[in-house]
Amino acid sequence: MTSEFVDRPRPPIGKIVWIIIGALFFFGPLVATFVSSINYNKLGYRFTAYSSILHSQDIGAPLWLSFQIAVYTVIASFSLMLPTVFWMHLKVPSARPLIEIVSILPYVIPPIILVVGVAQLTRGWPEWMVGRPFFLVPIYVVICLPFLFRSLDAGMRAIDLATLTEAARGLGATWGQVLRNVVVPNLRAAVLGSVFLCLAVVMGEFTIASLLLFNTFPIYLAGAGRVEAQGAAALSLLAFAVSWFFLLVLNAISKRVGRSAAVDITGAAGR
Amino acid sequence: MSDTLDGLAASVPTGELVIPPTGSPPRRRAVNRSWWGLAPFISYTFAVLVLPAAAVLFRAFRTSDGSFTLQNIRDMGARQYVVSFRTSIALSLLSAAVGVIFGGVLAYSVLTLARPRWLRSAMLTFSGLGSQFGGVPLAFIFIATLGVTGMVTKLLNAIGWSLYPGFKIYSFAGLVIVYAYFQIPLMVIVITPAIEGLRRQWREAAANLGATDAQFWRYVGLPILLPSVLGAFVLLFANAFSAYATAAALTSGQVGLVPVKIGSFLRGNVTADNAQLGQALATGMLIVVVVAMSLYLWLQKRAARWSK
Repeated sequence: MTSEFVDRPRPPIGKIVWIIIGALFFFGPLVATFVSSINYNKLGYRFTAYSSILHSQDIGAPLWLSFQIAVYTVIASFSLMLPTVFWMHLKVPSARPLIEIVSILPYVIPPIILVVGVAQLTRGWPEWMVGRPFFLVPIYVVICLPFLFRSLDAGMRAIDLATLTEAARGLGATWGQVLRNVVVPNLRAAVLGSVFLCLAVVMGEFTIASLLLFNTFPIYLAGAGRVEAQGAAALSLLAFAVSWFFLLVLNAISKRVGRSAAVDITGAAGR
Repeated sequence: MSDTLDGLAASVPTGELVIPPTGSPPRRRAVNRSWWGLAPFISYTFAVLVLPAAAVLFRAFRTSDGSFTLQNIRDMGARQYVVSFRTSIALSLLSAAVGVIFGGVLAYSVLTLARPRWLRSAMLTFSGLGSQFGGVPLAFIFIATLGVTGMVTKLLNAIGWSLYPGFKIYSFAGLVIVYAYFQIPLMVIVITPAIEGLRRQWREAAANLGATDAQFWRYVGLPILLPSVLGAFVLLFANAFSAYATAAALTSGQVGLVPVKIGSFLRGNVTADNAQLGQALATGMLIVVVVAMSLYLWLQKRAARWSK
């Protein structure tokens, strides 16, 4: 759908020029990066950088670590936010302004300040608590808060939560069962969307991990770039491609799982 | 809305929370008790979000042995820190202006073009990605493009225009270009609803009353868009101001931005006895961002007037 606010018919040359400039600015650097990732000056063009990434011994550990942290973050975020947003919609709608403001706070407080504060508060804590990479999970939960709240809120607003809950409770479901078997299946689009966003954000997070000295994937990437230019270019493109992939999956999901999902309660209950 | 939800909630069999269907005093107490359901959320965000920010504020006014002082705030007046704040604010203002102008024109161009249809969703999808993109990969992509041995640098060299040493990607100007890569897409995302909210009827009405295109934009179009555009500007400003990863990866401290300075305090690259100064800088940064975001929320409320 295009805007209904269409200019009077006249050749839109100015607009086309702007769009071309915009496309050049965004795709130009990607093309340039690709060329420099395969350009070995006097040795000509080759895909050595990509094959050495695939065969690298060092890349596995940070990538796996980042992935684990991301998965734990997703689990923890949902354990916290799903019941909270559900409860807000059902029982305490008057708490909405408070929760909304708190959920915007991570946008307001820059990550670097969060790190300074956390480092400050946890000074003197035992090494086994602050020295492990999973120390990052509680902080990343906060980073994921804004979009998690928004998507869950929008998802629950779109369904008749009160009636569904009433029906399930009337049939003897516990609150846990209501959440697991009724609410979540109805929110598939919203839930999946924020899962992917959360994964992508956590796997790319640099500021907090680097300042707390954990060797996650983005930190590894930064280090690799100081060693070999082609490798850094190749890795950056891969990072871009991974985010691109997450985004396309997200789009596909939100198109396929429409609003009519409320009908399909029984089908998804077993998952 | 809230009344109907309350009413429905009251009719649900609630197990441990018994809500009598009638009588206002008991119902009121039950509503209050429902707030306990939010206790995990409130205590969690308090511990991991509010408390760290408060700790930063608190420490900014303490000496290393814990007594109250304004010395850290005074130390912030030292030339190098004033310069960092000035550099950070200048960079954020400039990159926000670049984002607003180019992103606004780009969004307007795409959204008001009737064909091709796929262009709109392509732009929005790409903007979603671009606005989130940053940090190390972004820095490397621009080093590979406009760095000393970057592809575009080489290309320009070949046609006899040498960028270096006049221009450096790890300089202030370089940062403006790199930040534009996420600022322009963010602007596209933020301003799209406002542009799509412009009604064709307004323009027709203006034309029927004899207004020229310029008059329409001067007296109708721009005043309606103004709160949205200003709001977007403030949001982009805050976005650039709090960015750390991209600048850190690109400049390795060559451009003394406030977040980079705080980062070096945190890494202990600076003498330990003035660690509180880092907290003071963080406080200054927090104040700038909080002011910017409050302004944004206020402007957004003004902009919402026209969204119905």
